[in-house]
Amino acid sequence: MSSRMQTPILAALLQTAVLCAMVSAQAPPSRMTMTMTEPATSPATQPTPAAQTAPAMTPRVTLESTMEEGQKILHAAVTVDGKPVQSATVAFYVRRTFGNMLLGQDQTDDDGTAAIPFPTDLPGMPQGELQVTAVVTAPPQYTSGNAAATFTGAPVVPASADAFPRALWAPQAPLMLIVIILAILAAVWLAYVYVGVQLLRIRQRR
Amino acid sequence: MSQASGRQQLSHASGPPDGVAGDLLATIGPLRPAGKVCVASLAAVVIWGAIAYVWQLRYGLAVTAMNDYFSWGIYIINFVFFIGISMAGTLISAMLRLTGASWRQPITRMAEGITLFALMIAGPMVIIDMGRPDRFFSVFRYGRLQSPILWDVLSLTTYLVGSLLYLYLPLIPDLALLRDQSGRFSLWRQRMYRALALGWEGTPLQHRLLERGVVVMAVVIIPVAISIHTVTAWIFGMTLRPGWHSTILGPDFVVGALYSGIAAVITAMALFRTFFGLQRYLTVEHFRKLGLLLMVVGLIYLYFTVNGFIGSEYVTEVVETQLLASIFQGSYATQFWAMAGIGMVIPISLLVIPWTRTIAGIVSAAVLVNIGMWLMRYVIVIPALSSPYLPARKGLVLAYVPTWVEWSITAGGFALFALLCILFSKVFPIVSIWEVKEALAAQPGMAGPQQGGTPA
Repeated sequence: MSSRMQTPILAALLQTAVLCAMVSAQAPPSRMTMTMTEPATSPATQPTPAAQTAPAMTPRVTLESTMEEGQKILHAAVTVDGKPVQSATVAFYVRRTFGNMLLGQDQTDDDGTAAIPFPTDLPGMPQGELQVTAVVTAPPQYTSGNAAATFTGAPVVPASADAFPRALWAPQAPLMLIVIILAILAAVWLAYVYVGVQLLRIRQRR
Repeated sequence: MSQASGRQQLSHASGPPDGVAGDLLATIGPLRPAGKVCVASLAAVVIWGAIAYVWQLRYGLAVTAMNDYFSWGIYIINFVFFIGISMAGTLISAMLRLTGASWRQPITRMAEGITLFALMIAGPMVIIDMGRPDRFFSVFRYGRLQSPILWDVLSLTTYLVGSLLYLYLPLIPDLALLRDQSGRFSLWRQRMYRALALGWEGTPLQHRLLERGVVVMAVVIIPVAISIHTVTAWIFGMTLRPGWHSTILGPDFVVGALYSGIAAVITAMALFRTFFGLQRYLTVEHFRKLGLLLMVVGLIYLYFTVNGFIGSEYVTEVVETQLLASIFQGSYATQFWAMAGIGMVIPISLLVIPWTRTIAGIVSAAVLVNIGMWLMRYVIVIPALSSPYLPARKGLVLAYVPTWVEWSITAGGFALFALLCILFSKVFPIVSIWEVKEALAAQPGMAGPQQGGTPA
């Protein structure tokens, strides 16, 4: 390998090592902030344009829901070192049976806050809970930022004793199918029994 | 003399057997040297098949050519083939009995025996295919009533019990005849005949009860037989696979079973006729009538087969087109065109042309049909498995070539089937004595069995 080719690679490796050291020494550890309908406590002081923060940093994200003009709103506040992050894209997810469902996305404004309407008709867990996650998806240096919170008050779907109705694909067969199969089997086996009785009578009536 | 008392004389002759009974009881005699060699050879093949199965049990299904793609192989081909053969007894015995075909008497018992023995081979083939025989009981523990596989198990069990009953019922008067041949048989056989004869004395009441039982079974066994073939077809037809997912598969299997079943009976007739000297009872007329039946069913099966393929050919769905290409001109063309020639064109031609409709021609056609129908089962099972909707792993060539273990177990299964037929024929009369005698008595002026047809 020529020295001209080695130089940029070595430089890149050195740069990566320096960045890693900076991140581990300065950036706060990734954490999930659980907020139960409480307002964010990181007021925006100095907007920090996303484009200016080249090194990867773990932003602090807080998540809350509020009522505004009769509309339930999900807010996510993104800050780095206590300063709001502007123009970061935040995706909001809600936990469903088979994974997370995207509720919506928004860009943070100058106070570092992104907001989307919080649907009120989403069925919750047995106590009406909804597990919501906010994830920073852009710019790349902030994508490690996320927060999760559990909100209550979602509609509760009453637990059904018959979660899987009888069907061909369900654990329990349709009643009509059972009746038909049993009726056919019963008819045939009763005929066998009848023939068996004739055999017994042959043996008895010598 | 009343009809009942006449029957009593015919169906329960005490003392030394008369001409017909003497002829037909002679088949139960000890094996001749050639027969002993035949039985020993078949037993050796069965033992070899058993060894291969033990080998498979020891090392698992890895010793077969089955894999993720070919989850079914030669065992399921054998299963479908033997299920088809089992249609023989139902058709020949039950249908002809209910329609009053008097020529059926000499062939009903061997047809019923073929049904029972074919089922006894077909059932274990599925268990062999499973690899772990202990998991068979999971079908009952965890089986879902919505699954055609469970339907097949229920249907097969019901058919097996029904076939056993249907074989046994018309055997009772002959068992009484055997029971009364004191000193001719060993002690265990005398005891067995006595127990199975149920104290039959041929009284009018016993006759009435027996006929009632036989008629009930004849009526019941036909839909049960149709159900087993249909449900077996549904296992394929209800699977979303090219070549299988078709509504015609149910009736196609039923007609295919009739086709192979009749061919099996003709083949068995020819063998018993030759080796047991039954030319006086299994006449040219029997072969001609069954030959015509085979021809008609063969033409219907040809019609069904064309129907099955032509729809897929015209739809030109990608996977179906690939499947048909592999069948008509690809990897499976040899098997398919061999099936078309051996199983349909040549035998049907032999049966259609009057001057080839001799015993030799009819038996040749029947043997070809048996071979062709096995190949047809191959064409149904294997090509479809090599054309999955999900693409195969890149670079993987989907091909199924059975291993020595699979061939050995298959040979063992066929040998066991033949062995069961031979052993049955050496313990029980292979031609129903009392029914033949009744048929002769019912025809005024009939002095001997040869008048039922032309002896060869």
